[in-house]
Amino acid sequence: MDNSSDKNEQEGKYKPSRRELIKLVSAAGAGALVGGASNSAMAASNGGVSSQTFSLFEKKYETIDDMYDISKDIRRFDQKYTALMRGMWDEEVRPSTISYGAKKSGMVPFAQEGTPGYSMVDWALHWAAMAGTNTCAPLANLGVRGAGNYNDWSRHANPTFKRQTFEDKAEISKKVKRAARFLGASLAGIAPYDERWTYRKWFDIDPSMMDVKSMEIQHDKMRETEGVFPFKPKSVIALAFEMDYNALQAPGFISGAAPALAYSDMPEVAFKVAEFLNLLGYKSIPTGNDTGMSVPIAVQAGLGELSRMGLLITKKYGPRVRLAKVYTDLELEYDKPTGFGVWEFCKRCKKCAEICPSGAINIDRDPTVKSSTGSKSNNPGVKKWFQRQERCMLQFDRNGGTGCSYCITACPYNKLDTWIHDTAKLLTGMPVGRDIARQLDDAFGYGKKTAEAAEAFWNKED
Amino acid sequence: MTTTGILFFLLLGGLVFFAFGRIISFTKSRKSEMRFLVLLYLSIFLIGFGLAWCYTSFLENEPRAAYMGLIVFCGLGLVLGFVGLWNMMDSETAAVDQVPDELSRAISWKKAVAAVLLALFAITLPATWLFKSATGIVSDREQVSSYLGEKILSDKALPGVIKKGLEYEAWLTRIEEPLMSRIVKSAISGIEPESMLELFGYIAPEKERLAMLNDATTALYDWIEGENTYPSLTLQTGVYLNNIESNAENLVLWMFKNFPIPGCGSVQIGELEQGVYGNDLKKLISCIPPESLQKKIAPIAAALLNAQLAENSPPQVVDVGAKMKETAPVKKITTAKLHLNRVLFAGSAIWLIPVALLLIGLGLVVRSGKELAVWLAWPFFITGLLGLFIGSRLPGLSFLHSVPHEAEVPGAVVGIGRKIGIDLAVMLESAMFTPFLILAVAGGVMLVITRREKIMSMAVRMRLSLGLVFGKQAV
Repeated sequence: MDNSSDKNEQEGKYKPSRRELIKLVSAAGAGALVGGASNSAMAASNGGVSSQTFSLFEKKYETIDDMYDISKDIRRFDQKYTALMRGMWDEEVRPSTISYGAKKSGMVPFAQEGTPGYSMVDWALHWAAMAGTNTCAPLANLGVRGAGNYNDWSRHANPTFKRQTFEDKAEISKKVKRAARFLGASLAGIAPYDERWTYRKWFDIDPSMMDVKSMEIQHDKMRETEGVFPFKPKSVIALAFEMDYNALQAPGFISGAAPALAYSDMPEVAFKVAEFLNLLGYKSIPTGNDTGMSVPIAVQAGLGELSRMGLLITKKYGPRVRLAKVYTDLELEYDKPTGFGVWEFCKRCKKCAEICPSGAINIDRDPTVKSSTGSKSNNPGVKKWFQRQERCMLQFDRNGGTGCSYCITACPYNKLDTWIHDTAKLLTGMPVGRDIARQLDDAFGYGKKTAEAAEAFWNKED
Repeated sequence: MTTTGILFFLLLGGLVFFAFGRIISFTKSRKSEMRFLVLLYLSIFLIGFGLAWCYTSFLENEPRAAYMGLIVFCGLGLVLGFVGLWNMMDSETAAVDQVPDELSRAISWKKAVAAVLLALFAITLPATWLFKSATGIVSDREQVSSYLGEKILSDKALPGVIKKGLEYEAWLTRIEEPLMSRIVKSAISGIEPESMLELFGYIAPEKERLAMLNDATTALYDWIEGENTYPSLTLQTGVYLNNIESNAENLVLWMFKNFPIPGCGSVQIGELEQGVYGNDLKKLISCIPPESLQKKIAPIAAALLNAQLAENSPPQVVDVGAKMKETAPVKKITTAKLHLNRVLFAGSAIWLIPVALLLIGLGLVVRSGKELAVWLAWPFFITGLLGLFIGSRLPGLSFLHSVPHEAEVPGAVVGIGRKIGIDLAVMLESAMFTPFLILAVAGGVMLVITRREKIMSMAVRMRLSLGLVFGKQAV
């Protein structure tokens, strides 16, 4: 020891004493704490940086069938029976949908007018956020297919550019996802085309079908079309769009503006991704809520897991995302479905079901393959929690035409991606920790829409 | 924010690092045991973590999470730090002090029982006082009558109450509710408060509303306090029907002016100009005619309204007692009344139980004025703080403000019920504040007086230890 010490000194190397070493390590630790925490703190103000905490216990599956219990005789669903479309023709849902639309458009007053989140300024924000989709992809948020400039199927299904060939599928897949994120998606993944998730029949409606003044729907402008693509898709690029955390904490139109903005981004970005693929010579179709079911596709594309409330839970944003997808005949390398404990956490948590004011969300502990809710909007054949989706429409109306996001706001996975939530993320991966995580989430007051949040939203500085 | 955030975390990191360093030198100089060192490290870590949590939570716009982080992490850190320092000092003192007399340490059974009873007093007094205050407010007929008159039915309060009712009607719309009903309710919610009062001026002016309220509360409290099985309450609805009859024309004009229904089309206007009014009131007022026609239509519509009233012949008097006789059997109503009176009695007397516990506890151990102060100090201080805390939380009770779920009763009842609940919570808050503030202050003063010497000695030792930790000159 002494010899080597002398040798070090002779060579001009500095060897700290034990006391100095402890100080050095402590200083480095404190510095790391400072640097990491300040980065995370900054991240809180701009939407967050990717946290890898879930990676500690995530599990990758080969296919979605390995991940979930899916019946072999599962049938493709008819789009006509989605809750939003039922609002057009089904008397069970129509009064809620029309009344919701009338309030949202300002044709009749909303009873909450004047309360936080329901001022005319809030209302204007909501409509401004929606302007993108209203102008360029009308009623895309309802699931209307192919309407407007951004959703024009004929444009992207027939590319005029020379088809490029790519020998390295992994490389081009990486570039497609990078392009999607660059063009505006918050998350992007690639799934194989799986016909099971394409609607058996598309429900096409003309955006001019609704006479706003008389609140009457012209039924001759609705029709069902066989769910067959003009080309055979090989891949589906799933896109997720983050919704603003602070807006969702507020009630009323501020909260409604968060999904509205995502709805405006969805057709624009999907259009651009389809354009990107066209320029490479491949056929593509940009879609939003239409054409096929977004959640299973996003799960297949490795973006997240299915939750109790039927929405996708992503690692980075929790359920705070809207989904779009682009179908293409470009063969790509597919992402693998990834589980990170959502299924088990949802079994215990039930916070979304408890907070849902209209009782739309299933509160049973375990998921089932068959539906017992009696809702026409359920598609049996996949083990999951079945909802009463028509009651979501009821809540859209009750909220004064602002839509509803109580479940998304309440979900313990809905957090900004800052360091302080990493402990809770770890807890969700441990059997004993799940109940604790849920209880702490309540105790610390997360997941509530408050009147104060409306004011805080407007007062937030960059 | 970026600069502030970096500065905050740099400062925090620096302070944590500095505190760790001082603890090392402090404990080393005193040759303290490792367990105290661990406690102090943990304390500093938790305080630093709590501050960082708090700052980040505020950035996330999660104020409750920020405060909870501060309370939970920093609070725990402070407790651990205090325990660590205290025990460190104690162990040093114990080493030099003589072994205390075993007998003086012995706790007699009387003291043990007294301590339990006083602890029970401290915990139960706020709850029982709250119950007493609530039943006191509810059973006071004058207070209830003046509250309902002033905060619910007065011209000043009524538009707000109706608005609240409509808000909850919208919240609790049922899925099977027809579209038109939803739209009508929504339309009503858009009527201005002044217009709402104008309408009530035609149908039930403030004076008449308050008179009916007075009759109702008098009959209700006479029934609760008296021997009668059913209340003798008759509501004179005829007054309001007469008002409608005499103001029918004004009511029609009010509706044209305030109700957000669409304007009449050219065909309808043509018919109205030709004097074709028909016999259907609903059709006649289904659209708003031009102002020039409104005064012509108003007498016709008023006559149709009065004719409909005469045809339906609504009751001039409603005998509430008789209606209750029809729906509720004697046994059921007697039992309900008995339970109600028991609850009210329990509310007025239950607070005496903790007081009795206090007296028994004191009786077991107190033999002098000084002992009285020693034994009263903690219970008074704790119960005072607990009462103040409970009182301050009442107006913010989550069930009064949470998202309304499916309800068996109409939405308006839920809305107005919640408003009354919040008002009651505010009244209870003020009922709790003064007595428990007095108890807390009295307890605090007694604590300081009776434990003066110990506190002084603790302060000196704390100063010594803090001085050593943070490098200041020791005493």
